[in-house]
Amino acid sequence: MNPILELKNIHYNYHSALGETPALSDISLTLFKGEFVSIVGPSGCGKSTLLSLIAGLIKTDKGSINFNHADGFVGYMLQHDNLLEWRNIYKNCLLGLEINKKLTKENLEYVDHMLKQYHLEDFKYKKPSELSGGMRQRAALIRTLALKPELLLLDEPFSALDSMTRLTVSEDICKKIRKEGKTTILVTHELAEAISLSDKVYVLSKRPATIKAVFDIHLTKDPDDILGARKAPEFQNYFQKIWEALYGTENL
Amino acid sequence: MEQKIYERNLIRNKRLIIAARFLILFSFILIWEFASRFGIIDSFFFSSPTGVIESIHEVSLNGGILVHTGVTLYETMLSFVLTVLVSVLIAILLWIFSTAAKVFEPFLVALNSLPKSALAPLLIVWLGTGSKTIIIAGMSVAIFGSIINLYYGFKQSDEESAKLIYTLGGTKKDVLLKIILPGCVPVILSNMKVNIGLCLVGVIIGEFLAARRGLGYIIIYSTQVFKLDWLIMSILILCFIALILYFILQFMEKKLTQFFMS
Repeated sequence: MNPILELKNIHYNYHSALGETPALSDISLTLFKGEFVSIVGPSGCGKSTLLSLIAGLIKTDKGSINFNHADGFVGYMLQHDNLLEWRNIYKNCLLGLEINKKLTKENLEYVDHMLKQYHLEDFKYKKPSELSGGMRQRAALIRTLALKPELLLLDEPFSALDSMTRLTVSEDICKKIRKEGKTTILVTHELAEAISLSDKVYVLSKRPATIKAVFDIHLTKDPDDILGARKAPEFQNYFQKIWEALYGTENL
Repeated sequence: MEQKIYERNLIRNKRLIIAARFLILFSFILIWEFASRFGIIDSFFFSSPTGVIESIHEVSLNGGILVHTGVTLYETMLSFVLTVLVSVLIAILLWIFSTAAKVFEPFLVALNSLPKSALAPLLIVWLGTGSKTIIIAGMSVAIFGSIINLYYGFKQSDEESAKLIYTLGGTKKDVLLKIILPGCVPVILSNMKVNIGLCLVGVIIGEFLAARRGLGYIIIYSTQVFKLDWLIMSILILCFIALILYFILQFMEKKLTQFFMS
């Protein structure tokens, strides 16, 4: 099977008037269709930079990125929902389609379908400020999914939510993404979230980020039961191993 | 129940404000009239409400005042519309070409700080004494500040939202059309409110110096022939014009906000 995304020996440096800051160093990563992968690492280690590179917003200094899908779109969901206050929820969800001139009947029906699926249809004509954080995040996801991305990049999409909402919203959203078989990369610094949601967890080091360790996650649980994952017998073990990979043994 | 009481208080408060405004206006007119009638102020220098009304009647008899007011209004509106259009256009260009913006910034600041009344005599020499000169004098007062304000407004737009557009496959054009312009509607509107006043100032300065028509001309003429009734009448008409322009803008603000918020 061909991988959908291949990163080979990626290097990236930030430039400013004060000098050069290495952000990423020798990152290689392979992703197959339908996989759900998490990237964890200390704050400011360059996780978001990595996503920006994959999304094509910035160009690599060294190394190659192969996205093996001729006309596929990379959907990149940013940390903040950035819903535009002068548009209602529906118009916000259509923003991507508008920009790409894809306001076809089929796509509009798809957006309507998703609004129903994510329990937002009653809020279609409300302003973003009238919605709760969880609802805003779901609307932002619909905006990204409306373009039917082949690859979905999530940059700490739940970090703006309080911890209770975070659990339910992340379960709800990730269940739906998995059901659609979307290939996904999730950046997070919540280890429990990474373990319970993904097939694979990449651990990055401090800046300049390198891949410190990779864990294949196999939990004995119902694949749809994301909250239940935290009760799986292997969960603690993964948590401890990933923690050690991140911070070393002395901090435990 | 409590909502009803709240609403009633709200309406009462609104009426009170309007009533107070009219009270101030009428007592001012009354005191002015009495003061001049009983010789507390010299009605030659300070005129009086009846004097103003008489002179409106007098000037409208020989057809003048409506024409002069119309001319000033027309020149102000035209220079205002041109100022808004040109400054939005230039601010967009500066936003697109950010290096050019950096190059031009000190020039714009210098031109903006220049007392524009100093430019008016030059404009007369260059362009003659027609309507064109007056309109450009009106624009010259407002336009540089307008460009600077709009450009800074555009620049302060949220960078994260711009990034959002790029993640959705958009270009700089989409950032401009979907983020900057709709996001800056409040900036553009407040800018328009400042501009309309400045354009009126510029037009009056222009008319002082170069015109044979318009309220600015009447003001200069009436001081030269010591007809202070006319002078004060012109000032009152200018107040009235400013008020009307303010209401027009408020109406436009409502419409534009509705348009962009729907």
